[in-house]
Amino acid sequence: MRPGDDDPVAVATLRHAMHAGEPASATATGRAARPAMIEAVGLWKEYPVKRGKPPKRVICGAHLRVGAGRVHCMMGLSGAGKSTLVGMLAGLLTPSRGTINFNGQPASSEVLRQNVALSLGIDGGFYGRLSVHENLEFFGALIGIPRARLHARSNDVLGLVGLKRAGAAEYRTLSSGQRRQAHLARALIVQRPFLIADEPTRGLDPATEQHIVDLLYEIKKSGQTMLVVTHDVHLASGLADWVSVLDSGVVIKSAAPIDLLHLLTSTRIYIRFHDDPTRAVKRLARLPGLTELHVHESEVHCYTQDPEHDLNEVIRIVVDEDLEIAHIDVPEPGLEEVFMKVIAERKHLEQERRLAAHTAKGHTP
Amino acid sequence: MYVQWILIKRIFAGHSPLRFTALMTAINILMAIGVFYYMTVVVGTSSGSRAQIYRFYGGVAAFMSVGVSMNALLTVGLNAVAKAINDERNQGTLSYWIMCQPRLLKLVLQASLGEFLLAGVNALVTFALLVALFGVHFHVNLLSFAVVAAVSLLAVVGVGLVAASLNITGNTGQNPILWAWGLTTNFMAGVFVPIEVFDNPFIHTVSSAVPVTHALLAMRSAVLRDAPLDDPILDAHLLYWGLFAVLMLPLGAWLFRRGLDRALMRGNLVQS
Repeated sequence: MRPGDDDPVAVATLRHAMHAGEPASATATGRAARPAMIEAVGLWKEYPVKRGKPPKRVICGAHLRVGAGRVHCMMGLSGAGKSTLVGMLAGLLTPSRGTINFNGQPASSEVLRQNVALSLGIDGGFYGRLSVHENLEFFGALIGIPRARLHARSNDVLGLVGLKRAGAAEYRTLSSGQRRQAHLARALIVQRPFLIADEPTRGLDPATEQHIVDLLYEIKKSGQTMLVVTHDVHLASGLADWVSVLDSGVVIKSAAPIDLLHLLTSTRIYIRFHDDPTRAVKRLARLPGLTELHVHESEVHCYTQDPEHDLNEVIRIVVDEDLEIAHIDVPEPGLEEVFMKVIAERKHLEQERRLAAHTAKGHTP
Repeated sequence: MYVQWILIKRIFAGHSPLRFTALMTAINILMAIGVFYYMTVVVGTSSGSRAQIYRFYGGVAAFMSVGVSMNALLTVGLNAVAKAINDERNQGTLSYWIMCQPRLLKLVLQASLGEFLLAGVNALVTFALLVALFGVHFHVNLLSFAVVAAVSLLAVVGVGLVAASLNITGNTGQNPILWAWGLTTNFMAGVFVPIEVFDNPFIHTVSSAVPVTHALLAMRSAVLRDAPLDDPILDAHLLYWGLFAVLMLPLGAWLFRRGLDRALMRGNLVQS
């Protein structure tokens, strides 16, 4: 079963897997509603560290499928492997194992590079002392746009991303936000079937961010296939046809945003303690109303179907145990909550696995 | 043409201001002339077989001026390929080069052409000053000069690609190829003095084996002795240098391709 297929059966399976407490990375699949433009099948990326030591695994059997004309948002914590996965999909990084299909055919790195436009959320990648126009025209010329059309095309894309006024400015004089816009402009000037936008709204002021978000919606309307890597759950929930959550190199959840919201069958109560919460956790675990309980160091995530009642119970236990609360919150259900939940589940599972391994070695937990 | 224009412009619009770069270049040229003057004083009074060789190539000043200019041109030229890769990787533009232009090798050569042309202008200015200041007389055979220059370009591109194959995989330290090239050419290729002065048979053999020795002697024959293409001395050196070019060019292209594959495997082209 592969995540990424926009199929209700797959979502149901995911939901089931979640309740069953299984890692959902290899659960969802099924028939494809749309033909896939790009499909990563069992991708692995390992880097050798030192002789005799196991390689560093960055991507571990990731599956990802982006249908033609679809917008797929990828989310994940820092260090989850998003940039590595993007690098492989863009043909800038060779997978250690697995294949990437483009339009149904296994694609080499070269084929991917010729069909992917990449917009990275970084500062580099341009000639600092050349103007934005010159930079765009250079990359446009590299892909073979005729000289006569280069300036007009560059003007068009700068207008689209809202950077027309800065066209004559040297790239090094641009702000971080304007550099993001220039990256997007370059991705648009090369006009490729598949567009990858890595954190397109990072570091932007609210007005420019709105402009870029509007532009992304416009691009989506034009039928462009896109993979948008973002931490912005609001952007993902509105823009994406499909959302994947990546953690530790594995796609742990993948579904349509609305179906992901259905995964939220319970409300989370989040508490961060100043002290070690072990004493309270033992009692919280016995609370009948809590469906799940995840603990990470001083943070406790309690899931309940009756937040009003259980919040009082939780606070009562904390007060009884004389623990000091640094922060407490009952977040509104949304994609952010789904994101937090799947990440928390994953960490919980890993913790249990580590504990089991530790115990198996004969150590006392 | 537009791509070439931008590739040249990006060199002038590099990290150092243009005026500062021009000043440094002028100082470098003056230093080269100073070293040249010093060497002519040191070896100018030579006699015996060494003097005969100098006379054969039009005198000490002529012998050295061709050696210094040609060696500078070759060294800067071959550094240009590796420098182009380093500069683009550091700026983060290399990954976009490779995404926009499937023929990266062609683009790298285009990029180094700008550096090579600059090196050519530099060498030409040095050469002109040496000629003006030291009264060197030339007897140039244009056809031979053109052939030696073309073979030199191919050889330099070949070695440059070998060096760049290390840079593309993320090597930012000393490039061993460029280091070995500098070491052998500066001391053993007969830039200032004919290799016949090396009495030690081992050093003499090594010097004779260094390809640049033959490049310099071929060029000296072409521009100082008016040697035609059927001149036996010119032919012997040109053949050696040509074989080196024929060997290095495909080897360089192959290693560069391999370096690129390794960079794609290691993730050296991905900026995050």
